[in-house]
Amino acid sequence: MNLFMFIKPDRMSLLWRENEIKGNGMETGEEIKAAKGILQILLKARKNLRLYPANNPVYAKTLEESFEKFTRFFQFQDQLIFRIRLYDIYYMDELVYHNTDQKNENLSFFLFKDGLRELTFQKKMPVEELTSFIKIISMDFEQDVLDDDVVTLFWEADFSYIRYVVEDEVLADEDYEAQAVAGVKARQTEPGSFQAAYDDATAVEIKIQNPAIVSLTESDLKMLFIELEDDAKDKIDKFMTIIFEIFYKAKTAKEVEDVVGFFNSAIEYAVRQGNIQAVMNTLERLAQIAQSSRVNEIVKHHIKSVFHFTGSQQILDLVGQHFDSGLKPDPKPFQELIRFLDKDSIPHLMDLLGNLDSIYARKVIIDALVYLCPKSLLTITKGLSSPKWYVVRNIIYILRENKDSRAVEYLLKTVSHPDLRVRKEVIRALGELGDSRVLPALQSFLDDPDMQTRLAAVRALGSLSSGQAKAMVLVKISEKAFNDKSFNEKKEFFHVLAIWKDKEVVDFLIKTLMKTALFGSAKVYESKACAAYSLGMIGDRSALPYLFKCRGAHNKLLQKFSETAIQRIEDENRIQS
Amino acid sequence: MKTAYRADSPKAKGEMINQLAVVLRSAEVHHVDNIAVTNAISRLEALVSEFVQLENILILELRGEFFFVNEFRIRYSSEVMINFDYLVRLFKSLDVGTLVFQNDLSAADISVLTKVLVEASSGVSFEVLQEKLSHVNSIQIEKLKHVIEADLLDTRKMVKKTYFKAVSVAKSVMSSIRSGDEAVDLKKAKRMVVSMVNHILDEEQLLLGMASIKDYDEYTYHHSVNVSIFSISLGQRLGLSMKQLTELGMVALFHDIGKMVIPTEILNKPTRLNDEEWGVIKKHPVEGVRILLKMKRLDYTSIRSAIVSFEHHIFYNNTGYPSVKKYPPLDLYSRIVSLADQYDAMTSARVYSRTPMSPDKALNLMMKQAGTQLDPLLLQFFINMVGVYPIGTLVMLDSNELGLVYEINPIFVDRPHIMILTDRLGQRVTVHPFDLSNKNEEGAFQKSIVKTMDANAYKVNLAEYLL
Repeated sequence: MNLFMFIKPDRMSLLWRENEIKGNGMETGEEIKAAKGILQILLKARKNLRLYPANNPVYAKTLEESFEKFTRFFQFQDQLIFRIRLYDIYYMDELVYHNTDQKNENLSFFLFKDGLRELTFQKKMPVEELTSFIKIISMDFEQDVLDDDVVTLFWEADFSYIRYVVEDEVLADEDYEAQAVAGVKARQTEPGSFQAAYDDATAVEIKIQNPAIVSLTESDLKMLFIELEDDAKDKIDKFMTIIFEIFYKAKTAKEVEDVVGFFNSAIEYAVRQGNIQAVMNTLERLAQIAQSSRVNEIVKHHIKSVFHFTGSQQILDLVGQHFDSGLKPDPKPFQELIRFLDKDSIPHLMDLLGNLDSIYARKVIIDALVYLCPKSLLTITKGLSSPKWYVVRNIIYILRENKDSRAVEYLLKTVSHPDLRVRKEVIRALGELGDSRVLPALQSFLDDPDMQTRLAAVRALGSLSSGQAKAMVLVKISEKAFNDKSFNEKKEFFHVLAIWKDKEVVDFLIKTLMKTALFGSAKVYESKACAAYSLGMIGDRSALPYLFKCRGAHNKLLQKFSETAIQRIEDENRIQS
Repeated sequence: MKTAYRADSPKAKGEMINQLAVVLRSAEVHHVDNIAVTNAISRLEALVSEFVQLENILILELRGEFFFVNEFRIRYSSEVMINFDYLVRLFKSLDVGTLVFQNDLSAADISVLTKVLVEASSGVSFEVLQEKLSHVNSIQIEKLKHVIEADLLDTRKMVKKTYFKAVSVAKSVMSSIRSGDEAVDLKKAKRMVVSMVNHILDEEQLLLGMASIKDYDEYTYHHSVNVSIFSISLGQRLGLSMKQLTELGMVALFHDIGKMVIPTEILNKPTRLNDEEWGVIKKHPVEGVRILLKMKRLDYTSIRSAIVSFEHHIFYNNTGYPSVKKYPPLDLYSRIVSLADQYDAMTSARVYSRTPMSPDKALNLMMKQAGTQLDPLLLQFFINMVGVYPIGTLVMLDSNELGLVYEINPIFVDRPHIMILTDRLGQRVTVHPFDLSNKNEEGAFQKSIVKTMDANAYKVNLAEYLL
């Protein structure tokens, strides 16, 4: 059996052994119990690290607890050695773990099958090293780890305080060595070989050769340092260059098809690494190739499939994770990349809207959808039936930003959405995109029990700026009940009314301003003040005499608003002259 | 001054050794009381004291060509390479193997140590040094230990096993690819590469020796493993991390994987290839990329493997094959593998050329290609690695004896360890080892190389001596 110890026993361990002999203050029974406890916490840690993401408090707590267990053990012992068998783990010749399942869940089986035979943890093991150890044993070796086994990962982790003994007999064909050695040794040195070499060497005058000893200088080392720094950079651009080289050299349809697969894999890898710029560069280069008249239709079709793959759910989900990472990556490469995507990517992006956690990531996706919306308005409108209110609201925003009035008929179906936030967004969109079709809906919202909805509706009517919309606002303000509304709501209605700077409105406002307030009603004065405010916004000089009159009124609010309106009209006229 | 990392961290251990070299090198130029030296001593004293406070003791030992601090092998970066090499030379020349630092270390103690080591001429006996330091309680020195033959034999066996296992695993992976298997198990390959890296870190010469025997029947698999060994070894000298070395070893192991789809009748054709056949051979870098990318899900190692497969026949000046236009500079790993590949190919027997080139001739040819085909900087490191007289070189000594190089001396690259094969009259003798850096009582080298010869030309079977 070829047992390979990655770190040999040494003078230091002898020192530790001396300490052991001196006495450690722990009874054997207690020691075994403590070792068992450590195994249990390792099993628990394996389970928790697989269940919870790294940012979950349980994850961190598990690691903390594990380290505490080890720390307690090391208060009495300098090292902890586990011997590993197929179904068992021993501590000091005592069985501390037994499981006969032939599954990776079984810790002894999991370690044993990769050749681990002994594990030693040493005092002073830092928490980082234990964390790294636990992370390795918690990996899913069937799904996530492709080239590694537990031994190679331990080795790469380069532990200082965790040592292990490995048997690697199982890895290769034992007979191979014997065969190869026998084969090579069979060709024995021919008799007389050395004599011939000797004769040749001594036949001519022997000259001492000047061997080319190469000494390295400080500048060589500096150059090397630069090389190593450079080597640490991302390799994806170079890799893409090579795929393009292979693409240019491809002669058969099968070869082109293969290369498309490579592009797709590389794109997925680049997105996983967060290198959206590399994807963008690749697509741009492919687009240029596709534009060339020398490229045949089959190749163009294959190139198109790469664009299609980039807009697939698989890739866009990764893009979503990238922007949802909390690091707020630069959205520019993705914004540039969007132009290569087709309408098929829209549903995937809309799905993402429902799944992303951060506002930042959602904003990036919303912007992408705004760009893609003209490619298929109909597909975007399907998002209006999402069960998630915020997705519906985002879709309404996208439609509004897109400024395509064809969206109105779909938006009208959303006006009765149960969520107030959605209703407000749709009212706003209807105002910006709509025409006479939306008036009945907006009119009904003027009587909505929620003030914010009523305000959204009046603003939307203002956005429509049609005569019919004006009439609706005038009617509403003229209603008796309007006086009873809050001052802010009234002010907003009058603010909207100022959009129509025509005689009908000015006359209406003057009439309201000069209305007699029976019994000095404060509510009426509020309406008069709002009329003054609206006149000021319109800036019509014909209103000045009325406003001067009201400036001398007893009501302070009316006085103030009239004064402000006068000021505003005069200022405006001064600027104009 | 406190360091940003733990005093017992690998980085801190490396820094202590580097600082010791800084102290001794400054003391070679200035008096030990000069401020440049005293400042360096203060820094060393702070580092060591902090370490001793945590670990109770600091044992700095030279084993072979490597330093160990409290039994942990210290891996060093290229930035400190010159200082480490200096210390190795100094320890060896003074026969010093170990320095032990204990509590109550003072700057004055280090000053005494510095004086004793710097002022000692290379001829001084270890016992004299020990005597001079006997009054310093916090520092002890111990004599350099030479590797016990039995231990070396065990290690040799283990290295041999690892080498053949690696070839066997390479054969199994490549055969799977040739037979069109979809699922290729790379875990075993990686495990073998880890094992090779481990041996190279500890016993570089033994594994390099294994790679020097070039007369095996299955060239392709041995070549792949040899290129992997040479690449890892060169990577180690460049200061790559363990993880990078493993990656480089894997990449190098599969650099020629594209040959698996080249018809064997072309690959093993014993006569000169015609243009068409040569054209097929030239496809192997691209075929390699195709194989590697279809083998498994894309990850960092497969990307680097694909890059190296594509680039390993593109020269430093972007000529070679496959032909490329406006191509970015070659990847570092590609340039390393290219060196290893050329050297191993030139020094190996192949179906169309049974007599390989001798190692020193191959190196000379490679030197002519520096700057055009090969990276000149990496070639310098490569030559330092394989030595001016690489393992397997047949040499004639000034004593008229014939010898065979079996181990490089990294400190004196022109003075390797050899096996004496004949006496002064050319008569075969019982083979015995000899270190060409050995000096006589007058301080002159006992034996020197005067001529190199091609062992293959004389049909000397290196395996008889190196296996």
